[in-house]
Amino acid sequence: MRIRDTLAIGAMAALFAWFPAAAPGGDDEAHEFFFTRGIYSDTGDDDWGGRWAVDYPKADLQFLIALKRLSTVHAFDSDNALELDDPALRKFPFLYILEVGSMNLSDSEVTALRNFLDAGGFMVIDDFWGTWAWENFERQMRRVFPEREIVDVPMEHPVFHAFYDVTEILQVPNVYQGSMYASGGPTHEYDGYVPHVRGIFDDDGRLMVLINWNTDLGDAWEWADDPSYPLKFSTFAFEMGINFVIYGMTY
Amino acid sequence: MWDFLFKYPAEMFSRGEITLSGSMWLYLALVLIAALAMPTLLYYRRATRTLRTVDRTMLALIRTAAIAVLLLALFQPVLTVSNVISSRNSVAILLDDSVSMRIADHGDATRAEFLQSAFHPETGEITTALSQRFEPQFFKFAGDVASLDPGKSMNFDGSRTELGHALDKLRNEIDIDSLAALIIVTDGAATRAISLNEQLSAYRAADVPISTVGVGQPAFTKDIEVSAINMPRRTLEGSSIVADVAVTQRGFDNETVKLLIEDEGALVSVEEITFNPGQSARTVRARFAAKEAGPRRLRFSITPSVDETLDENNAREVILDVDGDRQRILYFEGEPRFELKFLRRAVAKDKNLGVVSMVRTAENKYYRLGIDNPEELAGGFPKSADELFTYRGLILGSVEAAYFSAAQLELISDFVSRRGGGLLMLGGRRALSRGGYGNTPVGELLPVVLDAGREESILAEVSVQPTRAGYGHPIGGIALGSDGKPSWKGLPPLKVLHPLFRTKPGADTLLEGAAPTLARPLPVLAEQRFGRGQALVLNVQNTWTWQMHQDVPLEDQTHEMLWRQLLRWLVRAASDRVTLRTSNEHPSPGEAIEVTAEVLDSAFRPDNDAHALLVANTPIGDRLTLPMAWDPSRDGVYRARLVADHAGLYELSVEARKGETLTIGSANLPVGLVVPDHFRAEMRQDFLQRIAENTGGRFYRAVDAASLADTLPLSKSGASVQERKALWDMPVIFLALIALLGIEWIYRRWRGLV
Repeated sequence: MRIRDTLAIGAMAALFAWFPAAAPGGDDEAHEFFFTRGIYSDTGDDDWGGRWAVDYPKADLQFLIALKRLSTVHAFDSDNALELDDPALRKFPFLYILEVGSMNLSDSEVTALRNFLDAGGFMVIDDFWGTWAWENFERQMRRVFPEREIVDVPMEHPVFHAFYDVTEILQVPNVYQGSMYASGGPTHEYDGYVPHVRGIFDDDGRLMVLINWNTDLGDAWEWADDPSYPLKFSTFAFEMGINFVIYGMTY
Repeated sequence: MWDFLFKYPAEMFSRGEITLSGSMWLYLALVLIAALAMPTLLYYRRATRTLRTVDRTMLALIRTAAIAVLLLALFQPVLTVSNVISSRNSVAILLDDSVSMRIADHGDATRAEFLQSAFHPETGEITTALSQRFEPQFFKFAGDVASLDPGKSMNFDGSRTELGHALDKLRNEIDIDSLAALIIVTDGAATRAISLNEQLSAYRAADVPISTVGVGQPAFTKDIEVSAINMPRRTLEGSSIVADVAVTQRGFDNETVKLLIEDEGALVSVEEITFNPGQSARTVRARFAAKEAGPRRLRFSITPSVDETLDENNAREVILDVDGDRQRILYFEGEPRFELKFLRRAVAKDKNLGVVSMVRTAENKYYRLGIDNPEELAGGFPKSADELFTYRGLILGSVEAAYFSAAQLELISDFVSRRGGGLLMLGGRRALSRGGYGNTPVGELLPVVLDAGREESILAEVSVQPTRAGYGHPIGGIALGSDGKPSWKGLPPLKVLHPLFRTKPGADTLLEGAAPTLARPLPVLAEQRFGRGQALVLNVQNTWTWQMHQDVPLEDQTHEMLWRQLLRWLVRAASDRVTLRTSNEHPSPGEAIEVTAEVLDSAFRPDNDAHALLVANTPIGDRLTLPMAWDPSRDGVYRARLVADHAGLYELSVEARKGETLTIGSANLPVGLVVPDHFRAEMRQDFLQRIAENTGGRFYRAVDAASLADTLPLSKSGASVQERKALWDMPVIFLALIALLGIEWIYRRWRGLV
């Protein structure tokens, strides 16, 4: 992942230094679904700017193309990144956040995220690897929900069947390892050998937070158009992503 | 004075006829005298021609008047009156034996005390006078009629005054053709608001004048009454109930009273009522929730003040059947929308609402939620009545009309009009006019006019407020301020896509939305009845904003309340396949009630081939089973007659069996819960006067009833004689003659003509 960061985050950080995230407005608001990416505070120790912007916006845009092609979701065509404590976040009940290994939420972000989820918002976490990243993320989520457990989501859960029947969790590699996969390269990063889909549930048993750990769906969306990236991973990632959206819009 | 001047009472003149009885010879003599008088008059004229014209005119007038009076006496006027021969004609007397006769508003005495003193069959003062001229027959009546034979007494405990029934039954008991008159002694209270035309016509045809004696005050000095309660009698558990309570008053001007509403003894609402001067009646709107399932006894009361005439009319009770069943509603969404997610969440904990959802997630791909079994909706949107009619409500989201076949559109129309289901169409890019519903059977039943083009849209954010009708609706109470009163100001605006500005005639707009970009508010929530059911349009597409918006506190329940109440309202008209009605909502013990059951088949068409059985569980634990007879005049209707002997709650159910299929409908019937006689208990003078006027009788107030024996209007066909009373010797004639001659003399003296 660090290797890819040099290319991706550097380019994105430079790009978004000049072009702030576009806010939907006017006729765009007639759309039902916005793929909303959460902008959060991080530790800032890797000199590459905000970790929130990894794969942004290409992953978002490519996912939206697939979503609109394959389902009836009336989705806004463009990206939609918002800070967690932006009041406008509450207009978009689906939230995507990644690279949470370096997440370092401010108090206002903690409060805003908790309220967003308690009000009915649904958050998908992606692309963080290994024990260290998990511990940081878990620490951050303890601040949001001190009382809620993080548990594995069983395969029979509706989130795996809302649109596609997903029966197995694949480890989706980043673009570099994906290109090496055909030659027998590994798919994991750090000590994240086994992919997990975990969740935080509300009092009524509905998923509030869906956590994709030791896997990188975002890269699979972003590089789905790269012939060197294995089709089975991008296919799986799209299936998972569309299931998440349908679940997030129905439960 | 009258009797001195005119010899006979005025009443005799009113019922008699005046004629002249002078003989032919007398008339000829008068003509002869007139002929002989002519030359005399001519001479007289010549002799008086020195008089001035004015004097001559005055004297001529006075003299002419004197001659006219004299001639009147000479023509021998007579008064012809019809008089009954004593002890030959029968008079029936109906005495009110209802509980309202215990009211003490006849001076210091009760109405019953007056009745006993004046009309007691043996000792009554008026009875004694009547007995000298008639053969009186006494009957007592309240809910029924009974002959007051010697030894039988009056109890004044009847819970209602059924005058129509009494008049009917009296015709069966006695031969009214032999009656000279009928006298009804009553306060007229609690007589059901039915026309007595039929009964009165019968008495009029038999030439029996009905005279009425009104007992009690036509208006109490001080009294307050809970007159009527207008609210649903059946509802779904958890529903918000809006009750309109009518309160009437006498002597409470400028006073404030509290209306208490109790559910099985627990206070659920208090409303303050202040009466403006001259405001004899007010209707108060109260809201409360139907929290528990089962028959609930609701009491609406105002604490009596010490000086009220009647305390018993300060409270009224009703039974509210609260249905605890789960009502199944189908929500079909043409595309994934957050509205579906948040609607499901809003009612997820509501055990009375089961929302079954079907979302079209791709062309020909559906995601089903809340289904009872894997087969449910497996074939897509229902194609048969058996399948669709299992639901009580139907929500159509953003799905275009072209998705449905013509038969399915008709089926949806039948779902509303025949099954009595509720249809709710939500705003959305594929709904309403944009969805092409304009000229479809579904568009026809919607409460809004779909005259916009399919491409027209407005995309406005509107602030939603209830209309006047909406405030009087359960929906009007969903948004509450900190004081618990309805408050809509803090709610975020909602998105509207469709330019729907017109509702159909007969539709009600409950919520409307305003925006700076709109010239006028547009309907947001509108409804109309269609056949047995109802159709609603909610022309917004993101009510979930009231749940998710930053400015809405997490604990706010407006969004949940909106959907819980709206869906309850949606299914309220959807009936079971067997429904029961009773002929009387508040029968008294011992009263016969007709129970009517409507039986429908699985497609909700009238079923004439069922075997229907009425089962009644009585308050004392008995179980009565009565076969119901099919009514050939009405499809699917069966009837049985039940006599409810005991006060309390009768649990009624109708079992309709057809082949192996058994369908059951049920209802609760409170018996003796309300004593009708305690309400509208003032003496109803207008009503009693109309009865008298309608039949040629006379109305008497109790205080004037002493003259009844002498002045009672009687049947002209009875055993009566014509009496001719000479009037020529009335003192008034002689006094008039003397007065005229005196005036002439005084005039002559004054003018110096003597």
